[in-house]
Amino acid sequence: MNDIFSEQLVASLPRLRRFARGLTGTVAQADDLVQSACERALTRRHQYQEGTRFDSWMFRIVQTIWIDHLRSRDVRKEEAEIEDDKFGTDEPQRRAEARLALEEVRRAATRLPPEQRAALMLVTVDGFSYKEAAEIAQVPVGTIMSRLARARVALTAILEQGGGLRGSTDDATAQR
Amino acid sequence: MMQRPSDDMLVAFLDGEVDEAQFAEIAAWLDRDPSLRARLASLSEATALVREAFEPILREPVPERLFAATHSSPETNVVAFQPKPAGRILGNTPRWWITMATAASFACFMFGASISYVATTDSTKTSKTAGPNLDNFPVLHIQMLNATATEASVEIPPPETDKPLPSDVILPDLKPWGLVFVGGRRIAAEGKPAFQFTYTTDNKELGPVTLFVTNTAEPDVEPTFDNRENVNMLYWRHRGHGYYIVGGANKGWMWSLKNDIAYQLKAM
Repeated sequence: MNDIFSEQLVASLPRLRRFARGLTGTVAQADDLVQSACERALTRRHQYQEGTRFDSWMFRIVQTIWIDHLRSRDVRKEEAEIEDDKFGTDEPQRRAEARLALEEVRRAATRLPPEQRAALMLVTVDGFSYKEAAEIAQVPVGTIMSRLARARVALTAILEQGGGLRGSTDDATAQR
Repeated sequence: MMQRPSDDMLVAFLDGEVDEAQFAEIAAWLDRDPSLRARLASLSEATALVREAFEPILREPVPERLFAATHSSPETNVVAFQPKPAGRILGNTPRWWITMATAASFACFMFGASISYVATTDSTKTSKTAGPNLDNFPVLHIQMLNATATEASVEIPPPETDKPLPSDVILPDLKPWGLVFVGGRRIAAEGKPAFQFTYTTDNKELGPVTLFVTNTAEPDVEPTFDNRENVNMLYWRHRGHGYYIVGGANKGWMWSLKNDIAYQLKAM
């Protein structure tokens, strides 16, 4: 049981990291979040019901830890600090346009409110159905639907404004 | 007839989350409303971009601390989620050449002892030690690499032991990792026949890698990571066999390889 459990955990790591990256916006925070989720999963593995989707269970743990974190800290201030870090990059300018463009899209996604971000990651990026996403986020399906729509509309607006694909550092800062 | 589809409905339409009747009605609206089509196109484009933007994360190497977290004892390794500002360096350890150089000098030092170990071990006796001397495996790993570098091929298995592999020992296929099998041989460990399989790859963060499969009477042991003279090792014992992955790959890669090998050899 334990071995199989760990194997499932290992297999889900890449997707959990991607989900966490979408939630947190940074590599370091995302990996901290996934690590915490793995540790919580190990302590609560008796709660996992064989035959149910392991990935959904793990995504719920990640989401729960993230929500707990948002509720317990002054995240707004912290995010501002992180944004400063990200925008104050020392990366050579526009060295790899394609890669940068993808980073800009990810950054645009992280500007969305947390609950919209989560819905976007679960459904659009990770391919969960609305029902599955609702179970993971522990909200009604209709809530997922409206969060997703708002997320997509907001994202479309950000990208169309150039804040996502073509926005410069100054643009991004100005929009905050 | 439904009202002009809202953004909620358009998004659900894109996600395939509308029923047949709704689908037909939205399709009809799209047929006659160019602005709605434009709206759908922009929503669809944003969706595709987001999906594409997060896709590369799946191919990133997973940090070794996360592999460790999937196995660690929670009582001894509970880490609260304390996000830190960005900027932390999460480097891999691409130290292949350094590792190999160090290991090579280590191999020169240990070579005699290793050969002695292999040559003097009587395969009819069972060692009373808890397991083989772990220091021997890096040496045998280097030895095989040197052999493959200087010889056209390595005999598999050597002439004096040209028996087929036991039915419960198979050669793991690691091609999906880009690891190509270059040589194998029968050795002795704990006084029993053991097998060495060496693989190489152009990916210097991963290979070359050697897998040792030993026979043992010792109890099972959980996968354990070790480092001997800058050569990494991940080993475990399962139902009468010891498994030792040896090479310069970092802990994360080692754990990934272990999972695959354990699956193929039914050693999990």
